[in-house]
Amino acid sequence: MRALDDVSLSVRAGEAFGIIGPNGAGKTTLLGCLLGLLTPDAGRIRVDGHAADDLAVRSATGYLPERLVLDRWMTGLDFLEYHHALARLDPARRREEAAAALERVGLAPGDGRMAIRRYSRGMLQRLGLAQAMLGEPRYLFLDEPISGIDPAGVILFRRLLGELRARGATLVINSHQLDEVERICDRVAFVRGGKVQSIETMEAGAAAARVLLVRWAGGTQAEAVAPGRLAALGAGAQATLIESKPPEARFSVADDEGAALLLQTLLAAGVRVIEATPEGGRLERLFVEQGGAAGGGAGAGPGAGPDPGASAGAASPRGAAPAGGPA
Amino acid sequence: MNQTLIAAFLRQRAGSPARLVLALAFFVFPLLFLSFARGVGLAPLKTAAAFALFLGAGLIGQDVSSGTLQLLFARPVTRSEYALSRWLGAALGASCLAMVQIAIGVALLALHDEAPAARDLALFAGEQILSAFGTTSVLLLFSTLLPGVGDFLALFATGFVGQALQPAGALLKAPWLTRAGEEVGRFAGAGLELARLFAGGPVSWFEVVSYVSTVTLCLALGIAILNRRELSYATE
Repeated sequence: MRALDDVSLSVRAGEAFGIIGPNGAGKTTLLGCLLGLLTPDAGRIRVDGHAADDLAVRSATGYLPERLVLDRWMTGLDFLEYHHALARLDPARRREEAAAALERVGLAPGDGRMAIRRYSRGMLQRLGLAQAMLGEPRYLFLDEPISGIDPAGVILFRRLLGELRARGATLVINSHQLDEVERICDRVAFVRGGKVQSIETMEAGAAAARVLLVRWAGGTQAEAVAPGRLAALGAGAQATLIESKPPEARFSVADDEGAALLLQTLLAAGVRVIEATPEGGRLERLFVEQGGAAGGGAGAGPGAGPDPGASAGAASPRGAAPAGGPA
Repeated sequence: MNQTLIAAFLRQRAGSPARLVLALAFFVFPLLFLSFARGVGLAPLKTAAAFALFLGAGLIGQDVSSGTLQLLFARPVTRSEYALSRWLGAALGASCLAMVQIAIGVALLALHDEAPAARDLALFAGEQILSAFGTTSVLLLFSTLLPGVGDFLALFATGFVGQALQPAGALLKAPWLTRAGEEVGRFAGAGLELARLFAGGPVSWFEVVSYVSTVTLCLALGIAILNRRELSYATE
């Protein structure tokens, strides 16, 4: 069974690199290989010129696993101090840095004194990120970092990941939250059937192109909302009319500014806009185009074919040949 | 060896009520027996192997089953360092319990004017320490092969097989079977009877080498198996 096959990719230093794909595509296995927890049968993985399981690499690595199984008998603070020690960080600063890490992810000092078995899912995820960020690692591997997190936590995580990026950390993020990946990552690899189907460059945040669904109030505005008129108005606002099905139309806009300009133009032209909703992000569209929405991992889409080594749920890295470049 | 791992292991074990109850029972009852019985010497205090079993059961398999190893091995910790630290933690923990128990036992014996000679005491204490380290090394090997506390069951089963083969060999008049039973038993209860070994006659180097090779082989095999083990929750 092949979980990964002919994988070749390179992550640049300081880059935020996303890995997306359907369930069973091999994303977690790829992350396991990048971390040196799994050994590919063929190929090689280098991190800054070292093997993935080199202790020098691990000293500079932070990891947040998807299934966060922590030592439940410890308190949160104990757990952070334990990982601080395992990371071979300065013992003199252990207590101070563990407490700071706890605070950084929005956990109260009281939470730190509580046994981990009493933590909620969201608290566990925050604690997991706190341990991953201990010692300001140069490489961060995050597997579904915002799964199970409340909206406030999502905003906090987004900010923390932004801070990590700002100080030059290299992030490798495996996530199903496409909008978050699009916000954070510079490039994204689509993995399907154990293969990297494509690597796309993202334009993060407000600069990203998107589709805007515009809905207007019905009535006697046939002339104002005729497809030809909408296309002309859109063109005047640097937007492209994709589809018109009164009383709604879909426009492609370049960015947030483009969306604002389009709405301004439509309103000025007498179109009684009652709703404007951004559709799925660029990454979501790319994901759908790549066949990711078809579900299933290997074996569910084009290219999977009858290859028994690329079946859904394949997990052993047997036959995998990932070759990550220097991060 | 990694002090952080050893300390974490001991704290983990101290936080397990079932292990604590069993260890406490094996700590208290032999002492109670010793305070009432006469002329039994230190024999009731041969408990180091039991302490090693209670502390060491699930030595590695439990962490593999719980899934905590992925996070641990993302840190700058080698697998051999982890395995040896767990082994040392369990063996030291069991040895310490046994030594404290022996100290109390000797005090109780002294109250009855039955205090053992210093040489006998030293040999008995040494036997208990060797027994703790030997038992833990066999547990470590089984623990790299079996999930959860399967190592405990495997060790128990191995000891049972060893015990069963000896009378079976005698019954079937098959000396090789008896010998095989002795060897299996020696493996499961890895230890050295120092009092007998240094009783005055020539030292049985076979027994010494057998013990050392059992411990060394179990540790080396255990580490080799752990090093080859794939760690991913994607494989679950």
